[in-house]
Amino acid sequence: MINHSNTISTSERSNNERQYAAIYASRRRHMVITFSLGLIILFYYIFFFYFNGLTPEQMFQGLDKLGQYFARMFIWRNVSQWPFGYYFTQIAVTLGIVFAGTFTATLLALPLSFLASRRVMNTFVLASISVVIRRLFDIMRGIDMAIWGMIFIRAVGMGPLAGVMAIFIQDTGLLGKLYAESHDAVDKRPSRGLSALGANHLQKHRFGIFTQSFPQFLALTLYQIESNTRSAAVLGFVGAGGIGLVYAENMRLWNWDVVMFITLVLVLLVMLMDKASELLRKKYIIGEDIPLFNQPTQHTEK
Amino acid sequence: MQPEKLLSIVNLDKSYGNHHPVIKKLSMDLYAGELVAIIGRSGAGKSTLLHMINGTISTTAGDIIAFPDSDTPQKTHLLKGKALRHWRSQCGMIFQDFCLVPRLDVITNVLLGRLSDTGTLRSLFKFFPKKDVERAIELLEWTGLINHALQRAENLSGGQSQRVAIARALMQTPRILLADEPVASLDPKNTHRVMEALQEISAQNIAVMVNLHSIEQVKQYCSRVVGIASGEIIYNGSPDGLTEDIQQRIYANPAS
Amino acid sequence: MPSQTFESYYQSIRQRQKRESLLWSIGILIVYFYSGYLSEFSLSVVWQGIPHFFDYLSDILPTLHLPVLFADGHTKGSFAYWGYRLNIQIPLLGQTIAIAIAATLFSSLMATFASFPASNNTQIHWSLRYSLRSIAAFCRTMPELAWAVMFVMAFGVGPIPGFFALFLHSFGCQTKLFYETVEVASDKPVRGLRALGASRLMRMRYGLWPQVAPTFMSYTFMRLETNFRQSTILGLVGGGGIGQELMTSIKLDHYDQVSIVLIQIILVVSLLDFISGKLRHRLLKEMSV
Repeated sequence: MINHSNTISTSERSNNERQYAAIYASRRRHMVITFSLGLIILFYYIFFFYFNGLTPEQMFQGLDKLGQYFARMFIWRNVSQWPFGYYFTQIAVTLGIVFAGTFTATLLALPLSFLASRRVMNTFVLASISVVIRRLFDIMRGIDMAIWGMIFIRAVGMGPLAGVMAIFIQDTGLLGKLYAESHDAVDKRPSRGLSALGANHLQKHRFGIFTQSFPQFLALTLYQIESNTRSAAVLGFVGAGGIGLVYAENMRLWNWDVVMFITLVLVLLVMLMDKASELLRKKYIIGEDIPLFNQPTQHTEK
Repeated sequence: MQPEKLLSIVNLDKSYGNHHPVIKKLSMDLYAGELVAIIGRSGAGKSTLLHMINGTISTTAGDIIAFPDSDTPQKTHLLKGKALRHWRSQCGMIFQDFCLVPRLDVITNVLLGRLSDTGTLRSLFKFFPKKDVERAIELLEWTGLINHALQRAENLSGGQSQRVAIARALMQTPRILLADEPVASLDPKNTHRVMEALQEISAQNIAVMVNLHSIEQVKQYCSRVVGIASGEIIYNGSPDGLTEDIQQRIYANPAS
Repeated sequence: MPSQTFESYYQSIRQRQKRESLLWSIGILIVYFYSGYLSEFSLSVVWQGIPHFFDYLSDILPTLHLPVLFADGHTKGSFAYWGYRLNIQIPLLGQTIAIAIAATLFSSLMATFASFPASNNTQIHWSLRYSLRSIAAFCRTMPELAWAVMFVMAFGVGPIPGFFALFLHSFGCQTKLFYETVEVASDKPVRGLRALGASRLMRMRYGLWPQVAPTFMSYTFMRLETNFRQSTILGLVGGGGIGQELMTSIKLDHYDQVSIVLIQIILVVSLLDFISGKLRHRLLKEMSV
C-alpha cells in the first residue's frame, strides 16, 4: 500500500540503507544479549547447585520434612495452653528494642549526616572529615545486626540492651548515609538566597537544607522503624532479646503452629505500622492545607 | 462499484450508570475508502463512540456490526476474550496522547502493532519475525521517521509520536482506523502531515473515522462528516453541506 | 472584609502548629522512654558497657609488629600470622557471595512474576491478588534466620538451605517493592496496547514492564547488598558461608580472627555498593527492555 516515490536521491537512499543495517544489527544484538544473559544465569544456577547440591535422597527427605512442618503450621493444637502473655511480652520487647534503637540512632545520625554531607562540608579539611565519617557509616551498616548483637553481648551481656545497641549502631550507619544523601540532593537555591540574606552557616543549613530534606528524613526514619520491626526478630536468635528467642525455642520443640501464630501477629503489627506511617507521611510530607488569610470561614471554627 | 460496507451502527445507546445518556439511538454506516470526520462539542459522545466501536467501552443498547455485507458479520459489542482482541486488531486506534510505550525504541513500538498475531513466546522476548520488521521499516520510511527508528519513543516530539502511532496502527493491517482527536495537541505543520497520512490511508480501501475539532480541517481533508450533539446525529453528509445553520445546531449549548 | 487582622490570623496558625509539634514531641518522648524501659535500655548499663565495647574492639585488633610484618605464618605479629585461616575463610566468603547472588537473582525473578498479578492495576482477580500479597507478607515477616533454621532442619547443614531461606525472605520483600512500583506506572501505554488487541500478558509485558524494569533492576542491586549482609549470618544456624566461622571466632574468643572476618565482610559490602552504584546508573540510562 505504500508507494515509494522514485524521486529519492542517491544520498538519501544510501542513508536509508545504513539505517536498515543499524536496525537489523540492533535486533540481532538484542537476541544475542537475551540468549547469552539467559545462558549465563542458567549456568550460574547449574554450577551453584552442582557444587553445593544435595543428594536426591536428602532432597526428598527434606521436602518430606518441609511438608510436615508446613502441615503443622496450619494445625494449631492446645491453643488454650499457649503462654500468650509471654509471647506478647516478647513482641512488646521487640518493639521496645526497635523504637529505642532507631530513635537513638536518629538522634546521632542526624548531626553526623551533616558532617558527612558533601554539600555542608565544602572546604578541603571539612571534606576529608566527611570522607572519614562516611567510611565509618559504611563499617557500621556493613555488618549485620545479628553480628553487632553478638559483639554487644560481650560488652553489655545477654538481653534486649544488646539488641538496642545493635540496632543503634547499624541504623546510625544506614540512616546517616541516607540522610547525608538526601541533604546532598536538595535544591541549592534556598541556601544561596539565605546567604544573600546574611544567614550564618548553621542557620543556612537549618533552613536551607534541613527544611527541604525533612520529608526525606521523616520518610526514611518511618520506613526504618517498620523494616527494623521485621528484622529485629533475628536478634533473639543470638541472645539479644525479643521475639527471636520465642522463634528459636519453638522451632527446636517443633511447635510450628506457634511459629505461624507469631509470624501472623507480626504481619498484622507491621501492617498497622505501615498504615500509621502512611498517615504521618500524608500529614507531614505532602503537607496540610493552611487556610489562606482572608478566608475566615475556614479557620474561625478551628 | 459500490464500496464495501465495513461497519454498521444501529440504534446505539450509551449511558453511564443512571446519568444522562451520552449516546442516543445513534445509527450510521462506514464504507471502505472513506475518511469520516466526527464533530461536536466536547462531551457530545464522540470519543465514547470510537471507544465503543473498538470495544474498550461497553455499549448499553443497540448493535455495532462489523462487515455486515460479508458472509461472517460480527456483532462486535458482544465479543469477548480472543475474538474481541481479534476484532481490535482489525480496527486500529489512534489517541490524542499517542499511548506509545515511552522506554521502547520507535521500531519496537511499531512492531507492537503485530502483537495479536505474534506467538506468546516470540513476543515475550521481543523476537518479531523478519517480515514484520521489514514491514515496520517500510512504514517508518513512509512516515519519514526511518532515521528515528532506534530512538526511544519518549524522545520524540508530538507530531513524530503521532506518526509512530499511525505506523503502529497500520502495522495491524486494519480494515478500519479510528482516530480519537489525533491532531488536538499538534501544531499546524504536524497537523497537516498527520491528516495527509490519514487521507492516504483511506485511499488504500480502509475506512478512517476521525474526531476533529476544526471545521477547516474537516472541509480540507474529509470525504464525509457526521455532526453529533448530545449523543444524537445532527448532520451526516458531505462537508460541503455543512452550513452555518447546521454548525450552529451542532455546537449549540445542549441546555438551551 | 476580613473578620480578623493578619496578626491574629498568623498567631492562630502558628499556635496550632506549635501545639501540634509539642504534642508530637511529647508523644515521641513517651514512646521512647517506654521503649527504653521495655528493652532495659538504661544509661547506666550503657555507660558501664561502653568501656567493655571499646575493650572488645581493641581486643580484636590484631597484634602486628612492624619489623616482622611480612614474615611467614609462624611469626607472631606478621600479616601471615593474622591471616593464617584466610585459605579457609576466603572460600567461605565466596560461598556467601554465591548464596547472596543466587538468592537475589531468583527472588527478583519470582517477585517480577508475582508482582504483576499482585498489583491493583492489572485487572487480575482480587482473590489471586490478595493471596499473593499475603504470601509475600508472610515470607518477609518470618525472619530469615527462622527460615534458615527450618530449612537446615529439613535438608541438613549447607549452603542450599541458606539459599532457600534467603530466597524466601527476599522474595517477600522484593514482591512488595515491585508491586508498589507497578501500581504507580502510567496507564497510557496499556490503553494503547488494549486498543490494538494485545492480550493481558502482552499488556503487562509491553505496557508496564518497560516502565518498571529500571526500578526493578535498581531494587535488585540494592537487595544484593542486603542479601550479602544477611547471608553472613546464615552460618549461625548452619546455613553455610562465612557466618559459622565468624560465630565460632566470637564465641571462642579468637579475637584476631573476628577482626579479619569483619574486615572481609566490610570490604565486600563496600565493593558491592560501589559496583551496584556504577551499574545502576549505566543501566538506568541504557537498558532497553
